[in-house]
Amino acid sequence: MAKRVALKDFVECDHVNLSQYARAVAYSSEHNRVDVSGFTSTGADEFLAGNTVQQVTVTFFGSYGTGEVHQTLANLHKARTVFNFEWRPDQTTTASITNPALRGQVQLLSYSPGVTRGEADTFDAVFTAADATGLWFYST
Amino acid sequence: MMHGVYKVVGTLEYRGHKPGEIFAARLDRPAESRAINRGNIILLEHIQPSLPPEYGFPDGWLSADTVQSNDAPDGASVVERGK
Repeated sequence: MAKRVALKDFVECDHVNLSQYARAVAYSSEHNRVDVSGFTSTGADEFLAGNTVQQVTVTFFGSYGTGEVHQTLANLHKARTVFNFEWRPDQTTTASITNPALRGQVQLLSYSPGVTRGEADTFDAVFTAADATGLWFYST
Repeated sequence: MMHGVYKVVGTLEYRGHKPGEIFAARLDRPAESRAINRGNIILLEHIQPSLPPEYGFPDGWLSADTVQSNDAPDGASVVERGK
Protein backbone atom coordinates (compact mmCIF):
# COMPACT_ATOMS: atom_id res chain seq x y z
CA MET A 1 0.00 0.00 0.00
CA ALA A 2 1.32 3.41 -0.91
CA LYS A 3 2.27 5.91 1.73
CA ARG A 4 0.31 9.10 1.64
CA VAL A 5 0.43 12.71 2.61
CA ALA A 6 -2.82 13.86 4.17
CA LEU A 7 -4.14 16.58 1.88
CA LYS A 8 -7.55 15.56 0.59
CA ASP A 9 -9.28 14.25 3.68
CA PHE A 10 -13.02 14.60 4.07
CA VAL A 11 -14.57 15.77 7.33
CA GLU A 12 -18.33 16.10 7.69
CA CYS A 13 -20.32 17.07 10.79
CA ASP A 14 -24.11 16.94 10.82
CA HIS A 15 -23.94 16.53 7.02
CA VAL A 16 -21.96 19.78 6.56
CA ASN A 17 -18.68 19.40 4.70
CA LEU A 18 -16.19 21.13 6.97
CA SER A 19 -13.12 19.65 5.27
CA GLN A 20 -11.58 22.98 4.30
CA TYR A 21 -11.77 24.15 7.92
CA ALA A 22 -10.14 21.05 9.39
CA ARG A 23 -6.43 20.34 9.46
CA ALA A 24 -5.99 17.32 11.70
CA VAL A 25 -7.99 14.25 12.65
CA ALA A 26 -7.16 11.75 15.38
CA TYR A 27 -9.34 8.74 16.03
CA SER A 28 -9.23 6.68 19.16
CA SER A 29 -10.94 3.41 20.05
CA GLU A 30 -9.88 2.00 23.35
CA HIS A 31 -11.08 -1.02 25.29
CA ASN A 32 -10.85 -0.60 29.00
CA ARG A 33 -8.27 -2.98 30.46
CA VAL A 34 -9.89 -4.98 33.22
CA ASP A 35 -7.36 -6.47 35.56
CA VAL A 36 -8.14 -10.13 36.11
CA SER A 37 -4.79 -11.03 37.55
CA GLY A 38 -4.54 -13.78 40.08
CA PHE A 39 -1.67 -15.17 42.04
CA THR A 40 0.79 -16.79 39.67
CA SER A 41 4.33 -18.10 39.78
CA THR A 42 5.48 -15.39 37.35
CA GLY A 43 3.64 -12.45 38.85
CA ALA A 44 2.53 -11.33 35.39
CA ASP A 45 -0.59 -9.21 35.14
CA GLU A 46 -3.55 -10.54 33.17
CA PHE A 47 -6.11 -8.30 31.49
CA LEU A 48 -9.37 -8.70 29.62
CA ALA A 49 -11.01 -6.16 27.34
CA GLY A 50 -13.78 -4.23 29.05
CA ASN A 51 -15.99 -1.37 27.89
CA THR A 52 -14.97 0.56 24.78
CA VAL A 53 -14.51 4.31 24.52
CA GLN A 54 -14.43 5.72 20.99
CA GLN A 55 -13.84 9.30 19.99
CA VAL A 56 -12.36 11.38 17.24
CA THR A 57 -10.55 14.66 17.71
CA VAL A 58 -10.57 17.20 14.88
CA THR A 59 -8.49 20.35 14.81
CA PHE A 60 -10.59 23.06 13.19
CA PHE A 61 -9.77 26.54 12.07
CA GLY A 62 -12.08 28.96 13.85
CA SER A 63 -14.47 30.37 11.28
CA TYR A 64 -17.53 32.36 12.05
CA GLY A 65 -19.28 32.79 8.69
CA THR A 66 -22.76 31.64 7.88
CA GLY A 67 -23.05 27.89 8.29
CA GLU A 68 -19.35 27.50 8.98
CA VAL A 69 -17.53 25.92 11.90
CA HIS A 70 -18.82 28.01 14.79
CA GLN A 71 -22.42 28.05 13.62
CA THR A 72 -22.29 24.30 13.06
CA LEU A 73 -20.57 23.16 16.22
CA ALA A 74 -21.69 25.64 18.88
CA ASN A 75 -25.36 24.83 18.53
CA LEU A 76 -24.73 21.09 18.32
CA HIS A 77 -22.87 21.33 21.62
CA LYS A 78 -25.38 23.65 23.28
CA ALA A 79 -28.38 21.50 22.36
CA ARG A 80 -26.58 18.24 23.23
CA THR A 81 -27.49 17.05 19.76
CA VAL A 82 -26.59 13.57 18.54
CA PHE A 83 -25.44 13.98 14.95
CA ASN A 84 -23.54 12.12 12.28
CA PHE A 85 -19.80 12.38 11.76
CA GLU A 86 -17.70 11.13 8.86
CA TRP A 87 -14.02 11.20 8.03
CA ARG A 88 -12.36 9.50 5.08
CA PRO A 89 -8.88 9.89 3.63
CA ASP A 90 -9.83 10.98 0.11
CA GLN A 91 -12.73 13.34 -0.51
CA THR A 92 -12.46 12.95 -4.27
CA THR A 93 -13.77 9.39 -4.20
CA THR A 94 -16.48 7.58 -2.33
CA ALA A 95 -15.84 5.25 0.55
CA SER A 96 -14.23 1.94 -0.35
CA ILE A 97 -11.92 -0.66 1.13
CA THR A 98 -8.96 1.54 0.24
CA ASN A 99 -10.74 4.74 1.25
CA PRO A 100 -12.51 3.71 4.46
CA ALA A 101 -14.98 6.09 6.02
CA LEU A 102 -15.06 6.50 9.77
CA ARG A 103 -18.71 7.06 10.59
CA GLY A 104 -20.93 7.22 13.59
CA GLN A 105 -23.41 9.11 15.67
CA VAL A 106 -21.55 11.45 17.98
CA GLN A 107 -21.95 14.23 20.49
CA LEU A 108 -19.76 17.24 21.09
CA LEU A 109 -19.49 17.16 24.86
CA SER A 110 -17.17 20.14 25.13
CA TYR A 111 -16.72 23.16 22.90
CA SER A 112 -13.67 25.26 23.53
CA PRO A 113 -12.56 27.64 20.79
CA GLY A 114 -9.73 30.00 21.67
CA VAL A 115 -7.00 32.06 20.07
CA THR A 116 -3.44 33.21 20.55
CA ARG A 117 -2.31 36.59 19.24
CA GLY A 118 -0.56 36.32 15.91
CA GLU A 119 -1.33 32.65 15.42
CA ALA A 120 -3.89 30.84 13.34
CA ASP A 121 -7.23 30.53 15.09
CA THR A 122 -7.53 26.79 15.71
CA PHE A 123 -9.07 24.60 18.35
CA ASP A 124 -9.71 20.92 18.98
CA ALA A 125 -13.19 19.42 18.95
CA VAL A 126 -13.61 15.98 20.48
CA PHE A 127 -16.53 13.99 19.11
CA THR A 128 -17.59 11.13 21.34
CA ALA A 129 -19.55 8.11 20.13
CA ALA A 130 -23.17 8.49 21.16
CA ASP A 131 -24.85 5.19 20.39
CA ALA A 132 -24.22 1.48 20.67
CA THR A 133 -22.96 1.22 17.09
CA GLY A 134 -20.01 3.42 17.94
CA LEU A 135 -17.52 5.01 15.58
CA TRP A 136 -16.10 2.59 13.07
CA PHE A 137 -14.76 2.27 9.53
CA TYR A 138 -16.99 1.40 6.58
CA SER A 139 -16.05 0.55 3.03
CA THR A 140 -19.32 1.62 1.40
CA MET B 1 -40.50 13.26 8.21
CA MET B 2 -41.46 15.24 5.14
CA HIS B 3 -40.03 15.19 1.70
CA GLY B 4 -38.77 18.53 0.56
CA VAL B 5 -36.94 20.31 -2.19
CA TYR B 6 -33.95 22.18 -0.85
CA LYS B 7 -31.29 24.49 -2.22
CA VAL B 8 -27.77 24.51 -0.80
CA VAL B 9 -26.74 28.04 0.10
CA GLY B 10 -23.59 29.45 1.64
CA THR B 11 -20.17 28.12 0.75
CA LEU B 12 -20.15 24.56 2.06
CA GLU B 13 -21.45 21.27 0.71
CA TYR B 14 -24.44 19.80 2.49
CA ARG B 15 -25.09 16.05 2.30
CA GLY B 16 -22.75 15.89 -0.69
CA HIS B 17 -24.56 18.62 -2.62
CA LYS B 18 -22.54 21.61 -3.72
CA PRO B 19 -23.58 25.21 -3.03
CA GLY B 20 -26.29 26.25 -5.47
CA GLU B 21 -27.52 22.70 -6.09
CA ILE B 22 -31.17 21.85 -5.62
CA PHE B 23 -32.00 18.44 -4.22
CA ALA B 24 -35.00 16.50 -3.01
CA ALA B 25 -34.73 14.55 0.21
CA ARG B 26 -36.55 13.32 3.24
CA LEU B 27 -35.02 15.00 6.27
CA ASP B 28 -36.20 14.63 9.80
CA ARG B 29 -37.49 17.89 11.20
CA PRO B 30 -34.68 18.59 13.69
CA ALA B 31 -31.99 18.04 11.05
CA GLU B 32 -33.88 20.18 8.59
CA SER B 33 -34.33 23.05 11.02
CA ARG B 34 -30.70 22.92 12.13
CA ALA B 35 -29.47 23.14 8.55
CA ILE B 36 -31.87 25.95 7.69
CA ASN B 37 -31.13 27.93 10.85
CA ARG B 38 -27.39 27.89 10.34
CA GLY B 39 -27.69 28.82 6.68
CA ASN B 40 -26.67 25.59 4.95
CA ILE B 41 -29.90 25.14 2.99
CA ILE B 42 -33.20 26.82 2.24
CA LEU B 43 -36.47 24.97 1.87
CA LEU B 44 -38.05 25.59 -1.51
CA GLU B 45 -41.13 23.46 -0.93
CA HIS B 46 -42.41 20.43 0.87
CA ILE B 47 -43.54 17.71 -1.51
CA GLN B 48 -45.59 14.56 -1.32
CA PRO B 49 -43.90 11.92 -3.46
CA SER B 50 -46.29 9.94 -5.66
CA LEU B 51 -46.30 7.75 -8.71
CA PRO B 52 -46.97 9.44 -12.03
CA PRO B 53 -50.61 9.19 -13.15
CA GLU B 54 -49.69 6.91 -16.06
CA TYR B 55 -46.73 4.67 -16.29
CA GLY B 56 -45.74 1.58 -18.20
CA PHE B 57 -43.04 -0.99 -18.48
CA PRO B 58 -39.84 -0.06 -20.31
CA ASP B 59 -39.77 -0.61 -24.06
CA GLY B 60 -39.61 -4.28 -24.97
CA TRP B 61 -41.15 -5.50 -21.72
CA LEU B 62 -44.36 -7.51 -21.99
CA SER B 63 -45.38 -6.17 -25.36
CA ALA B 64 -48.49 -7.48 -27.11
CA ASP B 65 -46.27 -9.61 -29.37
CA THR B 66 -44.86 -11.59 -26.47
CA VAL B 67 -46.05 -15.22 -26.58
CA GLN B 68 -47.13 -16.37 -23.17
CA SER B 69 -45.84 -19.84 -22.26
CA ASN B 70 -45.57 -21.88 -19.09
CA ASP B 71 -42.78 -24.08 -20.51
CA ALA B 72 -39.37 -23.84 -18.97
CA PRO B 73 -36.98 -21.93 -21.19
CA ASP B 74 -34.30 -23.77 -23.12
CA GLY B 75 -31.36 -24.65 -20.98
CA ALA B 76 -33.32 -24.76 -17.74
CA SER B 77 -32.51 -27.48 -15.21
CA VAL B 78 -33.86 -30.94 -15.91
CA VAL B 79 -35.06 -33.16 -13.11
CA GLU B 80 -34.15 -36.72 -14.00
CA ARG B 81 -36.49 -39.32 -12.66
CA GLY B 82 -35.61 -42.86 -11.48
CA LYS B 83 -32.07 -42.13 -10.44
